[in-house]
Amino acid sequence: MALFGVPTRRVRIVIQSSLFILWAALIYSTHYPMQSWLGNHIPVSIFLRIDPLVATVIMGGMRVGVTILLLGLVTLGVSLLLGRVFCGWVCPLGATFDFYSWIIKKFGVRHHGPSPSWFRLKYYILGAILIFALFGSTSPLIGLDPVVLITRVAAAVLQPFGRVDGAFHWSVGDRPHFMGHFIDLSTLALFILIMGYTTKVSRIWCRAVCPLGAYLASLSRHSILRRETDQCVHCNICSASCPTGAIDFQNAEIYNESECIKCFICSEECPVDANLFALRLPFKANDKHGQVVELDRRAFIGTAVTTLVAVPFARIESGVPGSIKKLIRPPMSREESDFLSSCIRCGECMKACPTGTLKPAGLEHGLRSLWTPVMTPLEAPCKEGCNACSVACPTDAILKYPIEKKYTFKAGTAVFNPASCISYTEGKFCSECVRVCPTNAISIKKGWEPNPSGPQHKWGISAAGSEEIAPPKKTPTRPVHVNFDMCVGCGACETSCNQIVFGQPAMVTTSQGRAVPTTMPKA
Amino acid sequence: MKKINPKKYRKYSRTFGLLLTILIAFTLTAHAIADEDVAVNLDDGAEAADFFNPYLFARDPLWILLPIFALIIVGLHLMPVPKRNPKSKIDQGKRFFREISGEDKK
Repeated sequence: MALFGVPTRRVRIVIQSSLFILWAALIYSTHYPMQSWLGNHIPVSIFLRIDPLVATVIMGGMRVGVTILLLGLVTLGVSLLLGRVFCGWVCPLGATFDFYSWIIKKFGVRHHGPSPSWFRLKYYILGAILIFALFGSTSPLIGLDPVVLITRVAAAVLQPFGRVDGAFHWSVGDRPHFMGHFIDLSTLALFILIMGYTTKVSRIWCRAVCPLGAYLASLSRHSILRRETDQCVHCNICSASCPTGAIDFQNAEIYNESECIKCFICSEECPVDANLFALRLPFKANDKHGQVVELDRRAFIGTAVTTLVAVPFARIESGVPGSIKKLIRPPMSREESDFLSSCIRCGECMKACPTGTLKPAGLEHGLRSLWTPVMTPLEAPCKEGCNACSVACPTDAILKYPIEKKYTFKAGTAVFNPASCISYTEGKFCSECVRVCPTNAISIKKGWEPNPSGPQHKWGISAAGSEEIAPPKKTPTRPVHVNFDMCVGCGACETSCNQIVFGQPAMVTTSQGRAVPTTMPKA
Repeated sequence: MKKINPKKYRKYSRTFGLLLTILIAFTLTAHAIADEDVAVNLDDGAEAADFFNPYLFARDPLWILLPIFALIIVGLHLMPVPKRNPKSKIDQGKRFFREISGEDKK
């Protein structure tokens, strides 16, 4: 079969490769200050915005129409008409699998074959995600969406490698006492597992696990782009070359429309040109050459019941005391329950963050916060004059805002603990927190200050933070308290604190007062 | 082998190509329409804080129909489908041998 005179498979490879390059370029452009030429013309998260599962779960779960996600409904319509063309032509994870297949084929690995018996698993995962959405939650299972998954791999695995301004650590779970950029081990392990299994069975993720694939498969049951095999000679070459095992191995004329990703490999591989795709009126799901997926009722009902039981459990915050206080979201995030409903765990915000303060949460804040972005002010502050995370967010979980209005609402509040401050315990002059505060929210009590032309300062150390000891019977200038109405919770004071005990700064940023309007001076 | 195509099937799917071209062009340009009212207008300074609040959204319970629609679509796979025996060439061969051996008459 050909498209405008060119074999359709080649057209598909060109389009798929181009879209993958576009995706990679957009991911690369997702960094501060978000002003790349490409990013200015195409939203960096366009691939997530056209994802129909994301649109369904976020808008249905929050009961809010998110304008930027309406493109996902277009993909729904396309799938109704043409089947799973998104999987075969657009999906960046699918393109990764195809590229991987092409490479291992060079080494003689043949991994096309029938699907495993558990290929229906994806429908149950999809069912669980949708039931969560019915109850107004976004299940962490949305992190298994292919576009979300590969974006998170780029953000939480590849991105930290690319950073040159600090060390990185491998981490999963609790992390507040580490410094550096974290590579999310759970995402990396999942990706390695997927690629490992793909070596054995092609596109195993698309066949058995992908919830988006299940959604599109359900829609494409009656698509109008159908395979015709009237001249089939039953050589089974197409069955053996189908990357998703959609063609029956006993009788090559039978195929599963829901599993077909319209890659047209069968069409090109057919030695007698018998595999043709033509536009036809909607077929019955099981026409003479059609094979349909039948779900096991018991398994489906079991999934539904398990999910219903899991919904309240998944909302449990965490067993760690005080963890909610350290759950600091990016500035201008939605209210916590809405944030959890609208965050898809893609990691775009973490990719965009210039300081690396945004990290994926492990299980320290409970299952419901898994892979969501959390500020880690002990490691880095939220950069002044930056709104990269909000621009990158594909679902408006972090609302879009102009940079000059960044501090209109609080992300949290810093709390001062004099018992950990060196100006109180050791009589040293520091005031580093006062110097770095962007909103002048820290009140000070004036006292002794070192000579700005003193010996230490000749070494390039500023007066603040020089840690010079005050003369006997004199107290240095020191912080007194943090003004709640002016503090925006950026975490700059916590990052800069000269900690007596490593990991226990005198200024601790908390999520208290989040989204309360601040009274900082007008810009 | 390549010459086995007596019915002369059309090798060019112009309609599909046209549909696909339109769809890709639309997808890559439609974000402009969707982006129009994305940015939160906080340009009114401190007064903006009075009417803008991240806690407040215009919710519409009708949006729940989206996941319900998706669940119904998935639920269609639970419906029993009558099995059919495709009349392939292999089956035709078997039938031929059954007929000549007289198995069908028994």
